Amino acid sequence: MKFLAPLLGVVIYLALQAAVAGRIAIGSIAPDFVVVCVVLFGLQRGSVQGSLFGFFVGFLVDLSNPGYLGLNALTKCLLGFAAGGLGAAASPGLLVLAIVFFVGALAHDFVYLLIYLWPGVGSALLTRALPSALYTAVAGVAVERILALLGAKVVTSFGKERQY
Amino acid sequence: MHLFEAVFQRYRDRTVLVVLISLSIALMSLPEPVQVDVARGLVGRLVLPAQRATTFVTDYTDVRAENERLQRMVATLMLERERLLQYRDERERLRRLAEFKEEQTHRLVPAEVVGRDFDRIQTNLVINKGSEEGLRARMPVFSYGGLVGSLAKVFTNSSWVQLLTSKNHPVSCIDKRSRVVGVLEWRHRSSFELRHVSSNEDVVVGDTLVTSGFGGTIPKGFPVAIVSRVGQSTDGLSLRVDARSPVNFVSLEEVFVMTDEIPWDRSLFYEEADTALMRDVLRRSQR
Repeated sequence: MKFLAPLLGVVIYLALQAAVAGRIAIGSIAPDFVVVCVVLFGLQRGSVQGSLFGFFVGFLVDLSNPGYLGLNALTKCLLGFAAGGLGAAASPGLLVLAIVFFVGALAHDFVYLLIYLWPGVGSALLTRALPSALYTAVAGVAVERILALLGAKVVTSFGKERQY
Repeated sequence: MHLFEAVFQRYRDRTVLVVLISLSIALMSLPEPVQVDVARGLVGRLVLPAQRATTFVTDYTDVRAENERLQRMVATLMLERERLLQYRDERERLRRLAEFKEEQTHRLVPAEVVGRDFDRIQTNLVINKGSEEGLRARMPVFSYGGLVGSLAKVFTNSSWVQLLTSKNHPVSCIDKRSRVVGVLEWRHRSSFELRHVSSNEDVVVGDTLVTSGFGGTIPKGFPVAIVSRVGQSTDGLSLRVDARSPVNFVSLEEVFVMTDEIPWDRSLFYEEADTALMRDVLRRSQR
């Protein structure tokens, strides 16, 4: 069960990304549910599991874009590590959680676009990364709220590694 | 040994991170053909069946509305077909009179998009047609809006489409109005840049860029993008030509693979269209 729940979560979030993200996109700006998934997992499980999980999920995403195999694995493992290492911050309200999602998505896209579009990364940060990070933050909070309403164990406090 | 274990325990998180970063960089450093083969092999066996299931569930909800829309479309096409048949006969008579060379058209194989990148910068699609339908690598792929990309890898019942929104998929294009030739390369989203255009060439905003046919892979004359901005480049020797594709690469649901050339008056649509079925559809749509 310890490994089954994260695997099931990965499948659900990848399905959300593949089937829903495109449909709720505003223009070409879509939320990144995979980033939401990695951040939530990192917050729950800490740096070690967060980075391992991020690498695994990122590698799965890379399989669909094989010209850059390893890029998503790298960025999402960093994201999982950072989310897991937030430390003993104050207990999060929705605003703090939204900021975590926003900063996480922005930093993730910054590293991603820096490598992917090098050296022409300038405008993409403004036109793609920034609005996308905002959208991801909103989607992330919505997902967290829905999970909470369903009774799932979601982020209730930073700093302590939670177990299912 | 104890010291090593103690250090590892103390810096376990950072050690794991360094190992994972090294692994990621090693993956990125692999030669591109190796990356592609590894990824596609794994995807073909693991991810594609799951993607098909997901696509089936989401598509099922849209089938009813799509059916009504298609019935209306078929009814319209039925009427248009009758008109075109008359034009064809008339045109054939005129061409024979003028002894024109027989014109060619292309066979388009329709295909559904059954998988796409999870990544937001989409560079690949998976379609549900493969070598059994006669598809081969490098065949061009179109949507209603124009050129979409080309087949990168063909399996028995599925194929990978490499989209134009890929950094390594430049297309030789020609300005439909002024016949200026350049190479169209993706920049970001639906934006492209036409490169290698001299500063004295005639390119203006609104011009349509069509495939040039150079190289022999993609036939000549198919729309790709529309010029959105023209300016001087920093070196002053060439024009900076920005263009936008009318295709929404994010929400493609069906595409057409261009397979081979056939004489246009022997097109399967005209010769083998099931008239009875079309009339039935027409009758139902008029209820």
